Amino acid sequence: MSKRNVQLTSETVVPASRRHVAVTVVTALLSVLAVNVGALAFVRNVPLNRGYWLVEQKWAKLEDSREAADWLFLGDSSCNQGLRPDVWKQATGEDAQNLCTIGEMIVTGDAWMLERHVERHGPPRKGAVLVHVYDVWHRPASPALRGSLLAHVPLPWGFWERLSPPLGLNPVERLGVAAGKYAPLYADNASLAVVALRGVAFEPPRFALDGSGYMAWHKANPEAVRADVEQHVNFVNNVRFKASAENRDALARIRALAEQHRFHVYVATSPIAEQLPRLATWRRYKASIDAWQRKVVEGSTYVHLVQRTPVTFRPEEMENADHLTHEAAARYTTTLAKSVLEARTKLAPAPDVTEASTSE
Amino acid sequence: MLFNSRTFLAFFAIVLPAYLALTGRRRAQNVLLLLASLVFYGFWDYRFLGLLALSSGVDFITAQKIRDTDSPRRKKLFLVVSLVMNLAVLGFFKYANFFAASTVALLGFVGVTVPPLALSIALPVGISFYTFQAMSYCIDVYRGDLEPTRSPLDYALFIAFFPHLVAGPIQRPVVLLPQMAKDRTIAWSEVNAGLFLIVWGYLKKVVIADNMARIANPIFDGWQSQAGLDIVVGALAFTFQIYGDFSGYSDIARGLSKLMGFELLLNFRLPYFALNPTDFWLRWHVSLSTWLRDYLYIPLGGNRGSQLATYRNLFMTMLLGGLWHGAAWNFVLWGAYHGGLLVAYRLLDRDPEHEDPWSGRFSTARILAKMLLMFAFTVVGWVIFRSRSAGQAFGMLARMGFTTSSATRDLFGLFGFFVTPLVAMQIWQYRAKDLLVLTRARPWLCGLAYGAMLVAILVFGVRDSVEFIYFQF
Repeated sequence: MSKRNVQLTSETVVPASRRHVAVTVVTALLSVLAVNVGALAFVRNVPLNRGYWLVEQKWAKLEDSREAADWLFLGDSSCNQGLRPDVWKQATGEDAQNLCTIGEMIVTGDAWMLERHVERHGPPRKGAVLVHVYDVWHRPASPALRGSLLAHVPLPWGFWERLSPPLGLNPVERLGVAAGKYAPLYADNASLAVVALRGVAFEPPRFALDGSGYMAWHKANPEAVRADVEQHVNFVNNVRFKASAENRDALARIRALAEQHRFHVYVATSPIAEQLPRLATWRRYKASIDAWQRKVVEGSTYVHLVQRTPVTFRPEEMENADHLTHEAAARYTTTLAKSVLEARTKLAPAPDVTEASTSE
Repeated sequence: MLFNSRTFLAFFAIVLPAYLALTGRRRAQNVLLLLASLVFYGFWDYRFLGLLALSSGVDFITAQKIRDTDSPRRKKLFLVVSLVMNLAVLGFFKYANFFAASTVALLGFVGVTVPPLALSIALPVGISFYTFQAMSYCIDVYRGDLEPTRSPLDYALFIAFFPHLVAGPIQRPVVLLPQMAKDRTIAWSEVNAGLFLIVWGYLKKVVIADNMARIANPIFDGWQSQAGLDIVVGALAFTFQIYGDFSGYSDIARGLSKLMGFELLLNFRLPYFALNPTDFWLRWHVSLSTWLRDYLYIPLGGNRGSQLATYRNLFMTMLLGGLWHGAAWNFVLWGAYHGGLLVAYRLLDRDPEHEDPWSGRFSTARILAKMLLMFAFTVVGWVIFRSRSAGQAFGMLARMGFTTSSATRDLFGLFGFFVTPLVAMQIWQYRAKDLLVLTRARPWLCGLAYGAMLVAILVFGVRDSVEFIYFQF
């Protein structure tokens, strides 16, 4: 421990004036700002995050639409790549728009979309189909939703309080929304890190929607399905179902919209990996959701629960435990369309919803 | 409260302006800093504020008693009271379970079966740091190296000052106490240096250390199924993780202190450029190694006796230094390993480099080879340090080799991506013999460099407030 054999590095504090420090700090902040502006242009042109991109695209599609859709598909990512408007048309003869986004938007996002559609064009002419994976119904509004996801909805600032059910954000969460809109260095850091790490080898992911809003997925990933199933098993073994307040209010809002504007809403079970419905714990969890949903829609003429029996798929037909490949989506769509048509035939003749809406 | 949390940023954004607003009113500033420090510590667990107060109170009073008495016997008695109290607190909170479990294991080894005993004791954050600091205060007063302060406020702040409270650098009373007792003037040159230390410290922690942890953790946790080269990457990643983590913390602590007009001890002097074990301990965790030198190695006899006694003293000091890091045998083994290295170095290196190895007497190849060798020894030490058992440490070292897996290339790529900027900066610092070399650049260039670091922190920084490794020590 004696002091020998060394060439120790030390610190030399150089003289600095107030101006020196100010120039340093201002240059540092300006350079961060400049990089942020560059990153903003980059992320607006090159979609990096599938979730953000889907929310942005589907909302843009809704906002750009010029007339009411026949059918409106609302829900999460299982619906986004599971419900094909082209197949629906073959089965029903009617057009559909797939506006399904991601699970993190929860049912609140669907209620908001429906409200915007009604505001702009009146209700969907034939009805709306709502599809969520079973594990979405218990989810509250996550920090991601209360920040960067809201930032990707192309509506004026504060829309989350204007649309119903409103989502109250605290000042920090509002900052998060602002960061999601204008500070990609903070909000899109994970995606930007991937770009930087790959460097010149980076290839932008290719996401694409067809004209009806549906996103086709062609590559099955059986290993990911199996891993995902494990997580679902863990989930149903450890969580007892209780609908989140946000989803409860959103479903009530959807019911109110349907009844006020006299259009039908069909709430369906999402596609799911075949292993899960074989589990008693999964069936129990699902039965709890069914019971809760029955209670919420009880007495409604316009909200219907359809396809209560899950349509199941093999791992070779899926991207993960609830995301289908393009071919598998055809089977799910056909099955669901059949269920909806069956439910519709049992209904009293539907009023002309366009007239009903405009007459109010 | 962690330096790398938003809570801390908000906390400091309130404390600093309030502190600066009180410029010229030293007592009020000290009251503010003490309250802020208690909030900072209490944020983790307010129940241990009492322990902090007890430790500070006893040492403050015993130091007064040591000064007030003329009897050498009574002076010694008061010193013993202080040391026993500090070591008892440390022993109870940090080592009780370790010694109980080790005793049970030892008895089991000789055939006596005793049911395992485990007390549910929470380890107070930073206890090893503030206890050592408190002990050095009483020892310095006893030795006559320091006049005890009459101000309980100054003393309490010396112990609890939030930048160094939970993970050092361990402050010497002769250095920090006088700063508590005099009016502070904040020079722009110190602010300039402080800003660099803060930005560089955060970069080392959240970008380098936390990303290295993502490589090292799975490899250490699943070492039995890892390929030889992957284990090498894991060991290297931990080597940079622990350096980035601890030196990053020290830099942030020192930078924050500079913004408030305080100067804390330098804790790291480019340790991975060390040429030999002695050199390493003059560069790594300097505040601990010099504490051990002054309060343990020299009192044990230092190098004043026979060669054998010097070796014994070195080894004992390092063994206890290892144990200081934690109540586990891997830390003891790590201490013994470094003790062994120091002894071996003294025995074997008959032509050591003198003050400046680059004076021309030694070839560049020799210096670089020694640097590389010492770095390899250091990496081996970190494998021992990070392993959960001696079996894991030896197992990992034995498995190191050139076998690869499908992940090897990516692991190396990731490791290189994060470590290269650090190494480049350190080569610059080493060549310039100045850790603050960047601050010599023109201010706008400096600003661009800080901007780049801030961008890296925003984009690559791990956001989930990963705890600093040295909090547990």
